[in-house]
Amino acid sequence: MKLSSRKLVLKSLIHYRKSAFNQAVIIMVLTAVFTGSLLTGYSVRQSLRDSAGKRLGNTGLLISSGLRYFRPELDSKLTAVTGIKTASVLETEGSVEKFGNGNRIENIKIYGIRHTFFTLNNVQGKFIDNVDAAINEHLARRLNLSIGDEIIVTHRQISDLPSSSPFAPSAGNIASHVFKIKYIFTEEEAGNFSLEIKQTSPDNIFVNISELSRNGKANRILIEKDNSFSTDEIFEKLKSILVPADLGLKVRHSERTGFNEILTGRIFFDSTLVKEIKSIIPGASPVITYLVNSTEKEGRLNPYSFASAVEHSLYPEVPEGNKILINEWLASDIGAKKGDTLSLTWYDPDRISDFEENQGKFIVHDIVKIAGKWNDPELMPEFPGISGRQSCSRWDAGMPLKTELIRKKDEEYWNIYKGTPKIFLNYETGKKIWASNFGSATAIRVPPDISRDEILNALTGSIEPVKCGFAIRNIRNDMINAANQSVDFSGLFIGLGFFIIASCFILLIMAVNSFLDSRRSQIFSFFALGFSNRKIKKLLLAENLIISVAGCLAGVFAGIFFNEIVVRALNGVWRGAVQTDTIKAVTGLVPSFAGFLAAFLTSITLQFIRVRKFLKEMQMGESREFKVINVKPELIRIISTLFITAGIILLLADYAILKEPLLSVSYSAGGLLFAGLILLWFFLIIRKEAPLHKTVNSELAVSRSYYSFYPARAVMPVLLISAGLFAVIITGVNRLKVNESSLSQRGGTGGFLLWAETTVPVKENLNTKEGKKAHGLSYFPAETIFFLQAKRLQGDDASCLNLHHVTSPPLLGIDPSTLRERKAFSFSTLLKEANPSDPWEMLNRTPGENIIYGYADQTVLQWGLKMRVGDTLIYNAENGEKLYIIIAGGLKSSVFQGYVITGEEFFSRFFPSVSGYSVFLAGGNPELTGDYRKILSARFNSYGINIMSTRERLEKFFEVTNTYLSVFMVLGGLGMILGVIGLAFVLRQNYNFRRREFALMLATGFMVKKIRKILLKEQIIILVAGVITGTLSALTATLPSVEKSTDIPLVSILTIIMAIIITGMTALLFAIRSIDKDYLISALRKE
Amino acid sequence: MLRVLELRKSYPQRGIVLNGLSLELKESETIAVTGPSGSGKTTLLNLVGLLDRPDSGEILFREKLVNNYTVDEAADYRNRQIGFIFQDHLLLPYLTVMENILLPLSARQLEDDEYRVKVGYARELMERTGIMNLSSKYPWQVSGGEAQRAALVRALINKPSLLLADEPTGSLDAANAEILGNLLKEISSQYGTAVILATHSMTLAKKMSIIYKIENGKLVKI
Repeated sequence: MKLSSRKLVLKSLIHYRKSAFNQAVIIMVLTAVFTGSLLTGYSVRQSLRDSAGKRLGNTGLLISSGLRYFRPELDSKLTAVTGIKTASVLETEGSVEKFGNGNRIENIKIYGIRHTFFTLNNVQGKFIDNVDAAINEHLARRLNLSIGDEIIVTHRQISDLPSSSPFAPSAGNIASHVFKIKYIFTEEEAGNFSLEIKQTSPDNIFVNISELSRNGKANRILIEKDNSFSTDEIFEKLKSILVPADLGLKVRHSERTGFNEILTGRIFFDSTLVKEIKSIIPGASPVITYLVNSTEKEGRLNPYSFASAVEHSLYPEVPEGNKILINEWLASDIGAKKGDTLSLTWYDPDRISDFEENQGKFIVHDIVKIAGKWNDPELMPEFPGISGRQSCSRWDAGMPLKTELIRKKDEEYWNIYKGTPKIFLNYETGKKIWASNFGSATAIRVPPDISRDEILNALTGSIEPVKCGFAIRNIRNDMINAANQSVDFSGLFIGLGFFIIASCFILLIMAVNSFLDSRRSQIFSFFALGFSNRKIKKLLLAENLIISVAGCLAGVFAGIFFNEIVVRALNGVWRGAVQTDTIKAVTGLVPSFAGFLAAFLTSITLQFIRVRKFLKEMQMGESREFKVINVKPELIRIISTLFITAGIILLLADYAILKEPLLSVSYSAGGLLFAGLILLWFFLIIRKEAPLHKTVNSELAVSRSYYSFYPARAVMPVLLISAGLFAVIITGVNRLKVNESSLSQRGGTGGFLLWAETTVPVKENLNTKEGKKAHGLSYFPAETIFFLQAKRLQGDDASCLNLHHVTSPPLLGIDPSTLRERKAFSFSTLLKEANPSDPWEMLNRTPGENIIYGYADQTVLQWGLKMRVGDTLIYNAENGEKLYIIIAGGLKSSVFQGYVITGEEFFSRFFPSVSGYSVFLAGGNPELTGDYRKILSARFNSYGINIMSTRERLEKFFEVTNTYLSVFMVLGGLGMILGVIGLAFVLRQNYNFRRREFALMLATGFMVKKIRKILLKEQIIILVAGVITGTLSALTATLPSVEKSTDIPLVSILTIIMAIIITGMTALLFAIRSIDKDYLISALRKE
Repeated sequence: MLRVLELRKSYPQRGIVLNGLSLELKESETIAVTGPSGSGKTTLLNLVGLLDRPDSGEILFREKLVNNYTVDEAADYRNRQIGFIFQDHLLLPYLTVMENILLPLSARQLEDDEYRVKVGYARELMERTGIMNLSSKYPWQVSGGEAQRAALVRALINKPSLLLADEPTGSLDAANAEILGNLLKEISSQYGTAVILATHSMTLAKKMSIIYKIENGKLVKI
């Protein structure tokens, strides 16, 4: 029998179930948006994490040799000392073509694998021999390939000797194979194996490692996950098992001289390795042997001789400084004697591809006989294009040889003495002129008293792997971390759903207000009966708690549904935002609970604030009904007129004065118009009425009298509808577009017409006559093309197309002189050290050892790398040292998005093995763009060229942002629709407040139909006023964009406006139906 | 029992309503306060019931100053000492007649024994006022007069010392008004409850022992 608080609350809720239900529905929608957004972010992150895990298969750690290679048997040796599964892999890129129909895909991944790859990934019963290939399902689908089909795979030649190394042979940079497809690997069979951090599905080909490279080398070791070793421990184990042969080093004994020497397959030893070997073998002495183009004395010229720079320790006779020894053959040939000054020319080792010659004068210190250690053909490195050739004129030294200079006697010398140097100078001098980015020695000689075996033993397990370019990382952790820190779709969708959330807030406040107002007399009863404030608050809040919990619980399920819809859309129509269709909708306890909690706390706080305010008002005896407006209508009219006039004048001036109307000016005009129209509406509401009999429409005059007392009830809905429409329309109109400005030199394309990438680097400078000739670009229209060429170091795409947070973006090395001349591109941010009128000059500067500057797209910095100007990226240079790249500026939306740009000079210094250029910007006559594209596609087909216009490239990036804007438009539109449904609330609320007034009108002869008509007209005017204000001001703000663009989503915008109007009308008509005569009469009777 | 000294109350829109009103009420005394609409009858009752605060003046209940009570003290005072009846019965539509009558008991913690005693008292009052058969009905299922009788019983459930009735018969027909008026008089004398009755109706006012009129914000005995 006891009337407990619980009973009071439940009975109240049951009685007011309609109002309670309305509130719960609003809370449900709010919760759905919060929960759905959190689940979407969770789904994306989880999908990226799952995808990363599946791609890595059983791989946990990764050892990489960077741009260098090692013997693949290293995996078995590492397994032997650690007991964990490992697999050597050769990873490279290329293109694939279906044999027969010419269908081709560029930029695929090619993996040279061994049986250890299958062991590591627990794949049973598979074997790939030299004629077979396996592909993944994604590639099979794209090229419509089946088992048994034949494919042509093209990639750059894999060789220890970089093709841009001095005297590397010119031929054979491209390798091609024909394979038969033996398997189509599923994901479970490691078909989607990838070491890249990105969400797009890879296109993979797996072949036998020994078929992929001439020397069967590898460049990656995959290490089993879940092992007990740390990365440092594994690296120590690696060091302990490294023998010289693993690193392409060999130790050779010379019978002729008695020396032992260490040689490298790369021909040149870089300085760090020289130092490392010298520290292991004291007495080891570097030698550098170089090809001298000409040796001349007073017009007598000797062509193409080798010269060796040696250390005093092994060759004490060699003089210091610019004094040289020459052999008797050379002395006789050019008539040189002791004391003579000879002029030597040679190609600059760092500018070999430009065929830049250097010259130096040297003094003959002595003439030696060709005997003993001076008769040493083994001093000449084993240049593949020179060693073993029958004659000098058959040399392939990677550069043009003037064969007409080679005489019979030169050929005779070659036949007898092969590459025996004719010139000897000291090592320090030789290093100054012939050391390059590739290294500072062609051999390391060891005194005869140290045997070959002793050398091998000393080097085994002693060379630091990092000095040979090895690096180890926890690739699994890196990928998971990148996925965890990926684009935050939770925050994004909560932001994009702002209008839905705002509408829910407003509707909830209105619903709670309405609920409380309708129970004013009952709450008064509680006061009168002696219930304390606290008790009354508790009762009301208890009701709200139950409503909130019910709404939030339902909202969680609605949010799960919302997430399903959004994920489907992300995989489909909104695919532009994620660039993949592999996102899976996942329900997680934590995000669901977080969404529940967020909505619950929000709704309960709103309700608490309203209840508290309401009770305070009741206590103070305040009537919410009687607040007198103290604003002078005339003042409002003047301000409104000023704003509207200012807006119109600004818009006219924008068009009349400025050649091209500015968006900032039109936006200001739109804003002024918006404010002016709202104030105008306010004025129309509060102005003093003319006598009733003088007004045209006396029904609305009565309404106007009411609203002049309570202007907020007319102005707030108009403000909300118009503000929402304004935001939705300007979002829809202002999509990112490639316009004239983007295509200009200062724009995002830099004035270039085409963007091209090749999988096989191009060695030649295509801006030179020789470069153009080499690739058939010497004739019109190709001769009119100019290029900006960039060397590329592979990395993880940092553009907006990659959802992951990357830390190793790909690097481009460019010669900034073209960009400096053209003052191409624009910058959003710049380091203060940079010169704003010549920012590209920064790429030529280095603030310290191993420190250089780089630029990146501002979008990449902010969203991809999450870095700022002045921050530093750290890379492993090829020689194992750290390279620090200070971000000196952010480019405005450019075609370079995804890359970090550095100067080519420094790039080549730290990554000399990147031979050639893989990224190109082509410029010329815009009318010939189509022709340029055809020609370049044809000429560089075998290089695996992928070419697009710079406009297309920018549009691809803009697609991501524009997709987000589309999402905002849709969700914003939904929010607006919710908002206009709130008009029905307002109608009911107004009606309840004015029941007495309407009851009196009924008593004086008005029909119920007429009363309904009055209420409906009021709300329609509010709806129309809101739509007109919002639309007109938005169109004003975006007029320049509307005029210029043909791809504004007009249909979508009109659909949203129509949906708002139709939903609003429907909601109003629905609400008006519930007003009936009997209810009014009963109110009259009571009064 | 009740002394009201020089009460003043004004409202922004209405101006001065009570202008130094004074009143003395003995235990069990019944008074009627009449006056035109807007004269301040409801204001006086609201001030005495601590539903509103005077601008100046004192309200002493059993010689204790009450108009400076805190909000919670005022609520407790209303629950224990005051019973309110309004023109509109203000019964909660979602509670039965019996639940409405017992509602004041939920304002504070009562022991089960005490609660049972009160319930018994409620039944007694319901019998007395002839609404026992309506205990399980809802307010919208009974007539105005019956609802107003239920409101009377609700006002008396805590045996208040003072009953404040603001136009209790305003919404009733003459017959029901007569019944209610008589009930007021009888119950007041039977249970010793003092009454301040605000009314337009002289017929009802005459049932009280003293009749006052509010004139110019002050009470004038008729």
